Amino acid sequence: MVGRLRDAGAVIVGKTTTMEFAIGLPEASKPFPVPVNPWRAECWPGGSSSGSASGVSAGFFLAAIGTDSAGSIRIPAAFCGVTGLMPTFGRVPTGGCIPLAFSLDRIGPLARTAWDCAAVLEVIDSPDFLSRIEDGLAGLRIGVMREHHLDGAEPEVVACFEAAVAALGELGAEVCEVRAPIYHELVATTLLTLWSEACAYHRSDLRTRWTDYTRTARTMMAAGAFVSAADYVQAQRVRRAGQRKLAELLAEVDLIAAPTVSMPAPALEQAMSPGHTARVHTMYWNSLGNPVLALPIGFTDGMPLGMQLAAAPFSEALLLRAGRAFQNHTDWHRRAPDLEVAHG
Amino acid sequence: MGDGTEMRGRLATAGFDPPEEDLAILEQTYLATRQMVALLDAVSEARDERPALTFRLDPV
Repeated sequence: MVGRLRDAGAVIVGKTTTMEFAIGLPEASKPFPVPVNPWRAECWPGGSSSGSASGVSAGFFLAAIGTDSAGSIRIPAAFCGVTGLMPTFGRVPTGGCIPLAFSLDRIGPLARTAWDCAAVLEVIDSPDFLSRIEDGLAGLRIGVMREHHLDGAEPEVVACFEAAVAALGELGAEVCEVRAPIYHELVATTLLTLWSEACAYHRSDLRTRWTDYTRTARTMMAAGAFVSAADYVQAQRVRRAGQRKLAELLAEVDLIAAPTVSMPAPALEQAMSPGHTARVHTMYWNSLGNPVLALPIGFTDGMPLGMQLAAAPFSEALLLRAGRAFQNHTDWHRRAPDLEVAHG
Repeated sequence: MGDGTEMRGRLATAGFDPPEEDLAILEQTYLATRQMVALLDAVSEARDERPALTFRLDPV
């Protein structure tokens, strides 16, 4: 991955901070830096690709690489006000990356714009994401998922999302309401699969080095011990049923729009509270394998908010084209944090 | 067998010996896990689906 970027002329400036093994939350007592949100230092930047998103947002570098197994590119993109692409499962090779969950893990770019993400994806995958990126949204059908996604959201959060949906319509897309097939079941599938696969990978170290892991990482990984082989296989069957149902939906619409996270970045210590995790809407897509683009769509109380666009497998060019059109029409992606104000 | 006993049994079978402060978190996760498993078992159309598992033989 880094070799491909270097060969294309990229200047690698360093490794960014992430959550331990891309799961859980950072702990100050561990020997890894605890990332901060460039918009407000006391807020969490999201994770696990925390430093990737916060560094892009702060202007430290043009683009970064992240991984996404349950939302780890899209959540930090939303909380830091940048653009992030989770490619189709299997599109970008994961060789060289320590696995979290082998059947869920994906690698993708984070950058300020969809155009920048396309440029990075051309290098880490294969070319041809830029040639049609200016084709616009006219004639595309976009389904909007509100059910499950806006429950309990603050009015400003809802207003930002509705304004983003309205912008898609102004750009010539035909917008309609759609329902997410077996939503809660696919979220459950992602969690059970992730815990099982992470537990299998880390089990021997968890037996002997339990307290070396952060508390949130070790308790989530150990949850794999609660999932039987039959439970895991059933999760993979539900996954296939979900893929079939979503394919039927994507025969009716070209893209699906939904909030990425229906709240702004919380404080780190509140990030795992049940009320907050229920407002994270990324996990549905990890079990399905479809590509998803996360875009900034506005602010509430000075903190960024995000929307995700999903498409059929291997339709990244269409997603990036939609993102480009949206960002030609809006300027949320151009906003940058004042680091002196945010960090004193 | 109560949930706490079953949870501890599963952890022991996996070879894990977490401290008490972690067991409180794990107990909540255990209950959530069983609820999620029940949710997936109720997806009747999944029964005849081909599981999204990969087992591939590479030529040698």
